[in-house]
Amino acid sequence: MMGRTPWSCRRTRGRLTQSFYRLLGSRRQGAFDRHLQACPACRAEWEATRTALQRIDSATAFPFESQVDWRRFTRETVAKARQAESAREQKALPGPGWRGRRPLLAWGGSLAALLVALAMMLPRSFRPEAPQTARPIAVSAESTRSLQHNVARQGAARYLRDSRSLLVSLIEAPVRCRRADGAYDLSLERERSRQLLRKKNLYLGSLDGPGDQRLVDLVEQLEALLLQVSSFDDCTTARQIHDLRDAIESRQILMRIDLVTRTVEGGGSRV
Amino acid sequence: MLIAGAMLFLMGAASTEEALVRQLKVDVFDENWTAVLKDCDELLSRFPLSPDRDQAAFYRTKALSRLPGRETEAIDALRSFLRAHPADRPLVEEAWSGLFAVACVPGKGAPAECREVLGEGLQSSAPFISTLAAIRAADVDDAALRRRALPILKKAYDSQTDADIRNEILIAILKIAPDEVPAPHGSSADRPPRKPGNQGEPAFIRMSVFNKEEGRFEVKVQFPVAFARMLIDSLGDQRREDLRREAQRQGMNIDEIFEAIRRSGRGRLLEVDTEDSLIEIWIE
Repeated sequence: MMGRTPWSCRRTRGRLTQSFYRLLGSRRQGAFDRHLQACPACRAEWEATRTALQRIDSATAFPFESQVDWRRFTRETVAKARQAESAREQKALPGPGWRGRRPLLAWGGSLAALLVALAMMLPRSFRPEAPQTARPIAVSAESTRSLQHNVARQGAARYLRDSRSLLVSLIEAPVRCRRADGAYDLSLERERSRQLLRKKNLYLGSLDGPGDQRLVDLVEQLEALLLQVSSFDDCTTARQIHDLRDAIESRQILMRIDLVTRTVEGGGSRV
Repeated sequence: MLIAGAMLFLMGAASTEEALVRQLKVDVFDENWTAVLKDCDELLSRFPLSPDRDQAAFYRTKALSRLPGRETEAIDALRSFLRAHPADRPLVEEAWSGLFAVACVPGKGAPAECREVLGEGLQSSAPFISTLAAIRAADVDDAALRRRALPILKKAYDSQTDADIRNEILIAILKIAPDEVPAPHGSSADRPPRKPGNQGEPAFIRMSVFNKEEGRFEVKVQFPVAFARMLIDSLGDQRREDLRREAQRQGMNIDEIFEAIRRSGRGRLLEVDTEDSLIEIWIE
């Protein structure tokens, strides 16, 4: 009966954002929709909120991030790291005796490099070119790295989107349990969480670019939620679902997923 | 009196245990690892028979691996967690993954601990754990370990049905032995005739994405054709959609990329020129 009590304007307006991110659950969503049908003022408020939330993107939610030139940042950081490394190497060199030998060693090094280069060139000059079919497959480490990074970003975005669907369905329409010792049957969600966690383990190691941090943070935060779901009993209590909903709402998880996936899947080069 | 007192004590203890578990969950969600470690230690020492003890033991390892300077403790805790728990459970898979991550820090070569941990992972009877170890081993500068990983990766590639996991396996095989990358899917039967003048099977696919706004190449790569599908999937939704549209305009179905490659033979497969980028795909 409680679910059938008409909602007030105040209560409805307090839940506009929750409704947008489908966090209300089916009964509360029903009450929300009924109120909107009967109240033009709240309906207008809802339209305005919905339009505003749809327009939010990463640039408006995290304005300072777009001011960073991540490529330049990477270049400068690498340069500084190299500088520090070479300074450390200079320091680590033993006393003057070593320094005295350095020019000789440098010459020796150059000579060795020259010999290696010659050795690499000579066989080519004398050997007939191998037929194309026998050519070994050579893929640069840079290409592999780039592909792996892009695949990981797209995969992580899919992971976020799938996790979002899982959490929404779990909060919004959990299946009633047939057993008496629990309220909701989460066996499907549990299995799905496990699959998602497996995928997450594949991607995390590859997301190490300076612009990946927000994506990684979110992936890791979802990991805690999915682990929670994967550890539930088949028949879990309403209290546990309630706790999960609290965790999702208070950390604005669904909104953050929305922002991050829109940026990554839209082809944006940074998150 | 005594019974009532005992009941009150038990009820009090239970509610404290529940409160502690809830606090632990909140701290995990907040990624407050110092607090997580404290919660776990308290829960495990005060309520050793708690139904949440496995989770507490696991989150303890997680907290240690996130706290700077506690990596060695984390490795010990993860090992002891894995010894104490049966295989094939989500927490165990997570613990293995955590162990690989802590022991094998990218860019730091292959310390003995990393080689040892990956070696143990490769021996695991749980397919996901051995596959994950093999994928990680592909990044390690240890020829023997990589050799051991290769057959595991090939077997996993054949049996795996999830496209995302297959992609990761394929990349790992490429890193270890580019010549042993499995042939792309698509039957050789009913193969349509290639364009005249094209000799032999296409071996490579090249892709470049030029960002017009920033005046630079975002992607410029060359891979065996087995990676064709993955290359296209690695683009964002918008660019993939542009590619699909252009391919369709040319009577090509980009979802059947291997067929498209076979049909077109060597040379330019697709060029998509949009307002903000130029995507080119070549077959060699």
